[in-house]
Order: sequence, then C-alpha cells, then structure tokens
Amino acid sequence: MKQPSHQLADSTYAQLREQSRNMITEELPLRYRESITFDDITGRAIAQLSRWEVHPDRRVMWSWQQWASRYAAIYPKRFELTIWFHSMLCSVSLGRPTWGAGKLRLDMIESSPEKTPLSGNTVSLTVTAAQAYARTIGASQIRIMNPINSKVRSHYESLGFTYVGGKSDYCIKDLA
Amino acid sequence: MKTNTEKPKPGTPEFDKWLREKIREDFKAFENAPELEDEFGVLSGSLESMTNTDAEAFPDEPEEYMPHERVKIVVDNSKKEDK
Repeated sequence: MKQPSHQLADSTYAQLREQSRNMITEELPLRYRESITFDDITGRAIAQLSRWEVHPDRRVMWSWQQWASRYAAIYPKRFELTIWFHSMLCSVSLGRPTWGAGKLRLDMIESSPEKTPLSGNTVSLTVTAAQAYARTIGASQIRIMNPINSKVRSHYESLGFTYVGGKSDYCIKDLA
Repeated sequence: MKTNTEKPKPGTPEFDKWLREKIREDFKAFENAPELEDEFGVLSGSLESMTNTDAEAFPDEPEEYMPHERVKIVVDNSKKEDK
C-alpha cells in the first residue's frame, strides 16, 4: 500500500504533468493544433503498445504494460508522455528527475514501429514536452539515456544535446 | 538573457507566462530541425536505464545520489597491518 506522502507526491506531480502538457498543446504550431494530443500512459495507450511489442522489427524486447506501471509505482515525480495523431499512438516515453532534482533523465523513448504522420518529428515533440516538464519541476538539464545508435545520437545533437560517452552513454542539454 | 535563477516562482501567473514563452521558443528552435529518418521503435533507453539508480548511472556525480548511496564502505585493515 502506498504511503500518504507517496500518494500526495503522485497526485501533485500528475497535476504538474497535466499542466505542462496542456501548455504545450496550446502552444503547438498551427499545423499540429487539430491533430496532435499529449497524454499520460493510459489504458488506451497500453492497448496500442501491446501491438508494438510483437512487431517483428522491434529492437528491444520489453513490455510497456509491465514496466510502465512498475515505474509509476516507484517514481511519483516521473515524466510520462504519449503523443497521439488523432487516435493513432505515435510515441511513448518515460523519465524521472534525478535524486538531486536538478536533472530530468529520459529513460525510454519509443516511436511507433510503423510509419505515422508524425514519423521523424516525435523526438523533437518529446524533447519539447520534457523541457516544459523539467522547467515546471525546477530541473535545469535534460539527459537522454542510452541512444540506440549513432544516427539517433546525431539527431539528439542536432536538437542541442551533447553526447557523454563512456560507460554512462547519455546525451545532455542544459536549459536556458 | 534570462537565466534559470531569474525565473518566476512556479504556481504564479508570471511563471506560466515565462513557461509559455519558453515553450514557444522551443517549438521555434525545432521548427527547422532535421527529421530523424527511420524514427521507428525504441530510440533510446534500455531495461538498465529504467532500473538503475542515479549512483549507477552517474557515478561521478555524488550530489545526485541518495544519502545512503553516498556512504563509503570502509574496511578496517588495522588489525591486519599489526600482524
């Protein structure tokens, strides 16, 4: 059973996630306004994710259904995002502030295994949402953990991130 | 240029205005960003990143550790040296 302090943090940060999501929705570029929505990882997302998980081209075998709920139970301050084009799920991501709260680490970013109208652009939308949430909770740096390959890493670099090599393997971006 | 230390207090209308402005700037900055070809499937992260602690992920940054992770294990070898 969750402790009262955990429950309070859970509801407080759920509200902060919603506020920052609402704000990015309102500020979306005109071409996206009628088609894109942002949400937490809800039941309707899990239903679509179960199809992604059995896709033959999937590069990492793990279950969103299993891990999203476990992650949510451990990290009430988490960043949690799904990006939708109308009713089509295009991207999902999870992250958490570091213990010192100064950095927001994005622990998993996955895009649809099939082409969607947002293919190619979901990372920049995810980063924009993460930056808004980081600012909301007072973090001043974003860290994207374990980019899957050099092409993806270069893309993060084109969005203003710097790759930190070695064992840690993540990209960082300081927020102005 | 406004720094992070100059930002308004969260929960105030000034903060909302500041954040909205930052979001606009972010969208504008990414407007001409190149699209990621082959943006399919897992792009970053792993089971390890989902489960490791800050201490494991960022070993060189003790300020990010939880207090119990900062404690150094000290082995008492004094008796061994006496022999």
